[in-house]
Amino acid sequence: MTEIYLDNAATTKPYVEVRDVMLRVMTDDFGNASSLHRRGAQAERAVAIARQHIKTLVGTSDWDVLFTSGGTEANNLAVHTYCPKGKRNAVITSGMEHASVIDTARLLAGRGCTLHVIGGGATGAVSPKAFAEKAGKDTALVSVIHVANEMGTVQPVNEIARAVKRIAPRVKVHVDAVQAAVQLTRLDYCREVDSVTISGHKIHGPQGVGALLFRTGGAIKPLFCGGDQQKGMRPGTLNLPAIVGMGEAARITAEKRQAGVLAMHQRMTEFAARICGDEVYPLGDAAHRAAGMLVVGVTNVKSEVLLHTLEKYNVLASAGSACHSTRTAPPRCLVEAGLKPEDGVVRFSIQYETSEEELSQAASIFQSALSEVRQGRAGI
Amino acid sequence: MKKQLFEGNGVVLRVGELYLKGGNRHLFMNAMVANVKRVFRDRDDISVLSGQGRIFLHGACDEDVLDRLRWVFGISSYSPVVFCKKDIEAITANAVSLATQFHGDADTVFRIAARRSDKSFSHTSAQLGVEVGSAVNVATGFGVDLEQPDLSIGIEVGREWTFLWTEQLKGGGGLPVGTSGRAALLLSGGIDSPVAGHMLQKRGVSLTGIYFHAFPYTSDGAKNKVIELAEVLAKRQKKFKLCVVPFAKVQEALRDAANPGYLVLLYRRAMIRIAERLAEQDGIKALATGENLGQVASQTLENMAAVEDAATMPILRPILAMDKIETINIARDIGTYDISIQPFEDCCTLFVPAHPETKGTAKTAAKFESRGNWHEALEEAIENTEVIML
Repeated sequence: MTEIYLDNAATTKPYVEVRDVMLRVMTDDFGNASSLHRRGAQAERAVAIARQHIKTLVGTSDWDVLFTSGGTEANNLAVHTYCPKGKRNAVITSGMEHASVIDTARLLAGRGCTLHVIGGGATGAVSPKAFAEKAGKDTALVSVIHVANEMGTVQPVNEIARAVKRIAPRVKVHVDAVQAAVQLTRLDYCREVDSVTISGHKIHGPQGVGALLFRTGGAIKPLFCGGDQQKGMRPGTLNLPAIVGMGEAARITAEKRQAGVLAMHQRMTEFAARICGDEVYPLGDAAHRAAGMLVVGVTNVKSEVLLHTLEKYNVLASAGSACHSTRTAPPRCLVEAGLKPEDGVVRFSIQYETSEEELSQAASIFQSALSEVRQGRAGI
Repeated sequence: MKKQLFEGNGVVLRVGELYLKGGNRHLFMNAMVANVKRVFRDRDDISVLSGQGRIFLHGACDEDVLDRLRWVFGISSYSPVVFCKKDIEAITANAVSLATQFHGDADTVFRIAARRSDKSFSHTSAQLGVEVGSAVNVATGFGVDLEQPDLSIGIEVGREWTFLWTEQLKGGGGLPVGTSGRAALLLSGGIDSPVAGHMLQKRGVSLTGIYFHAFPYTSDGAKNKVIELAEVLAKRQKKFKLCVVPFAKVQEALRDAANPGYLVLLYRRAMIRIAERLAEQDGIKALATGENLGQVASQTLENMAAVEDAATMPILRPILAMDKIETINIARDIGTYDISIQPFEDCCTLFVPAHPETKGTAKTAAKFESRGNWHEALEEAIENTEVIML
């Protein structure tokens, strides 16, 4: 039986075109973008094209792009750059942030700044009002995840940005759009958003590359020392194959996104209707749910056992963020959204090409796997 | 005619206990030579020779070579050596050269430990010591101390080969793997069972691994960890067969039949039965486990007796009486500790309450077993066992 891959929020399969351009860069078109000879110029041009595709994907044509080793580094750069100093030393984030934001913010809190975390509550979406209430003269940074990776819900980032800037105009607003880049028909950031993170491997590009986009003229504080590549803000030789691959992925994703997101929405809604019931309940409000994601609580099972049983039948899903697959307690945001301590959690995340047939098969398998686990008959 | 070595580097391997062997010593020596050859089969620059009751490597003597020898069992110690011609000038020249390579100062003291097994040689051991020693003294200015030297230069003048060394490294000891027969080791992902396997290999036992995999209750990560552990043990023997037994169905069947407090005991009895069957298929006559007396609830003497009741083969428990800290030290030494501590679930705790039975009896275990319909699951598990050759 063929595999049904429903863990696209963990990583996506690279497009064939991505593989091809990367292979070309690693065979014929190699070069150091900083070299003065023609290979350097050629590499620089390739990076410029990738940069353009990425800006188009994010919808910020006049911003700067800083290439990083991935979403984690981009988020770290943003939080450290806007690192509170002096009197303005408060950070406000949502309770659904990726560890690269929340743990960096906690690190700063340990060094004396103030950290406010706004929970998503039962709906799984934070309210701009709650952010505005915490915002004040001392606020330096507001960082919000656009599509929460563990909840699968969309956060009102523009509304939050506007609300906090009305109260504290000097605040910097950072958006983690790692999942949002594929989950929304378009990203349309208002004037109040200052920087955005995206990641290569979540948009069918290679792993190990990401980007921080920020308003032209802004300065990003480097995390480590090195050469003057990327204006010294992110030293180190540009990872040409990965950058070119990510650019190609961004180009294709931008092309497919409009139709793809609608298709995902329709299929996921049907899938949710099929699997949800008395024992399986969706977490987060349906109105806020991202098109291709569904996170469900399952009464009285261990997530791992259910996931492995699904795996036995070639359905691959996850129990939340793959970045934390070894932890035991469920994430707080899921508990706030109504996950009971004795219940398991499964996150399904599809892509544009996931077919109706695959999902219908997955739904049947999910039901039989669940009943196997219930009866204690999951063994092989 | 045997190969004569008059120059170049190499390593001399000294056999330990094999000296105690009588008429069949050659069998042990042959096994050891074969083991050493296997360890270096990918190194064309190393040749393995034997003679004078020793085994020699001839060729480059780098860190990699010395590392690989660390766990070849049957070797009590080994030394990097220089070979030389069997005449007093060559021996003296080489000794002086070794001494000048030593970073000593005015206070450095040395000794010559000479051994002449070729009695036809011009100098006796004592004369060799005096003559070579005075040459080294003149060349380096080092003093002589026979009791506590900073530098000890060993010289061996044998019938076939003459060589010198300054360093003596500790070998793995024990007997060559393969000379004490075969056993089937119940290998979990924990710290103890790989150490138990190591101890048996040290006594010359060649192993087959048996791992009980409780997928989907435990993940494939747990299985990969066991494969990694098996790879460590596999390096010491010709080939290593790892049997991965799908055990979850057996556990489910037993759970339906028994008091949860008895489950660990029943699982272990089932494991023993399956292991024996797999062992029999390969003509293996003993099982081995990493059980340790009193370490966990299932490892009381009473429970061990109740488990052993299900066995017909001897169960070897090489680390039965060791302290945890001793086991951990060995695990660190042989490189399995860091693999073992990766966090993955263990199949033994599946469906088991926090406080299982500690004083189980074979009679009660058999009573629970008679209620359940686990035989079919057990046959199926044996049938579906996956074999991985390492």
